[in-house]
Amino acid sequence: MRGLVELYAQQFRTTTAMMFQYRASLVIWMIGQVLEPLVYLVVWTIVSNSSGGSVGSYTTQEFAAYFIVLMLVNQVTYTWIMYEYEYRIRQGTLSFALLKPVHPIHSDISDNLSSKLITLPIMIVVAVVVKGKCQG
Amino acid sequence: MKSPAIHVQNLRKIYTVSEQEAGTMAALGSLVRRRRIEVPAVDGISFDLAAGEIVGFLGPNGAGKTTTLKMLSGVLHPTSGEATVLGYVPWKREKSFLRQITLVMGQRNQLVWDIPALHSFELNRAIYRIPPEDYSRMLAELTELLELGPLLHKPVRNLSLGERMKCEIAAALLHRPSVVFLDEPTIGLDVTMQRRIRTFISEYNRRFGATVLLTSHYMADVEALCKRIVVIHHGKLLFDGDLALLVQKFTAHKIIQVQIGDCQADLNSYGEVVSCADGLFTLRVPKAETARVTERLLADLPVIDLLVEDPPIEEVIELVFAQESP
Repeated sequence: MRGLVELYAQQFRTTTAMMFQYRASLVIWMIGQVLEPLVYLVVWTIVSNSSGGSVGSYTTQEFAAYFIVLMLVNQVTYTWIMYEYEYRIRQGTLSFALLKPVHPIHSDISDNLSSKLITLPIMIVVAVVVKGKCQG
Repeated sequence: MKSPAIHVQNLRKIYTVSEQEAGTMAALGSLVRRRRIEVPAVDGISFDLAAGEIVGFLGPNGAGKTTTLKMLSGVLHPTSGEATVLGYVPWKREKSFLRQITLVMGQRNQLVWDIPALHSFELNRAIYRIPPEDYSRMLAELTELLELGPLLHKPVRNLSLGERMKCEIAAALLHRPSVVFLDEPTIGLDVTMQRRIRTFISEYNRRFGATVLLTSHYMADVEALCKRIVVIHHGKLLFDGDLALLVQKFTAHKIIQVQIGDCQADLNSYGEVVSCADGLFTLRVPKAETARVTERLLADLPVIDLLVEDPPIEEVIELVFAQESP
């Protein structure tokens, strides 16, 4: 168990180094994550405001809450493991992972957890700002 | 008697491959029915390696070398046959087995591409659970032997092919494996880098008593490192023995280099003239006639220098590959 904890900690350091290596890529990725729910939010807020502050039983604030939560849930649940595995199997690079004395999935789980830990605080800040704007 | 580090008995691997003609109809047809053929990549080979031995594993492209290495490192299951490495059945992939072996493939990259190699080394330290003091000692040794110092902090993508290969080898050996599978470790490298890698492999084998199975298309690697070679072709074993024995077995001629004044003389009556440059003739003569031809050359011509040698190993290997499998 201690070995796995150390592996996850080391993978966290590696993933951090990888993510910070390409700063522009990180910014573009963040914009991509925020933009889609933000567009929905703006559209429904306009529709709601033009319909007297609600659509059906949903108020403008409730739309804002829904899309902010959607943004955070997307961020937390999105994974790229299946694409990575597909690529590794096709290219034959999974072999190298099979040579190691740990199951290859550990590297992917720790990589996914690490990248979420790194990006989640930024997403929370974005969520707080959007919420403030909507209330204001 | 001491058991071998690697034992291979009648090992076979048959791949099932689907075939398809070009064109849309053929692509559509393949949705319904696939034509499959069986390709025997490794066809019943047997050999043993003693602990601490360095053996060259030779064969032309598609001979089955990489498939064999993959089976011996546990990445592939064989179709039939037996193999043990350090007493383990490789394809069971027991952790204690995986901690004692490594596979380096010259054409594949194992390091994390975007960041310095040191991160990959640290990751391997955690994966192989190398104690910190052992890791520091081994890293220092590898850094010294491979001259890694200035490379460790540069992103892997910024390293040259040779520099990257040195880092690949270091990453693969940090856990100090007892069995090392090297699949063309010097491919694409310049002569200086090839020599450096060769020296390192030899030094690693000497220091740690590791068993090394090496494939390479560069005969200089094999000549420098391996006393013994195993040759396979079409998945079958063609030769297993001393490199010198291979030359004796497969060549029926010797090379005589004779230096005379110029290239005007006709030496065709002495043997097959391979080339002549600045008066240095290269003759190919049947082995049994070498002594007689040498005597005649010395008696008939104003010889400045004369050298009798075996044909280059590349030529011998080419001859071996040209033979039919037994």
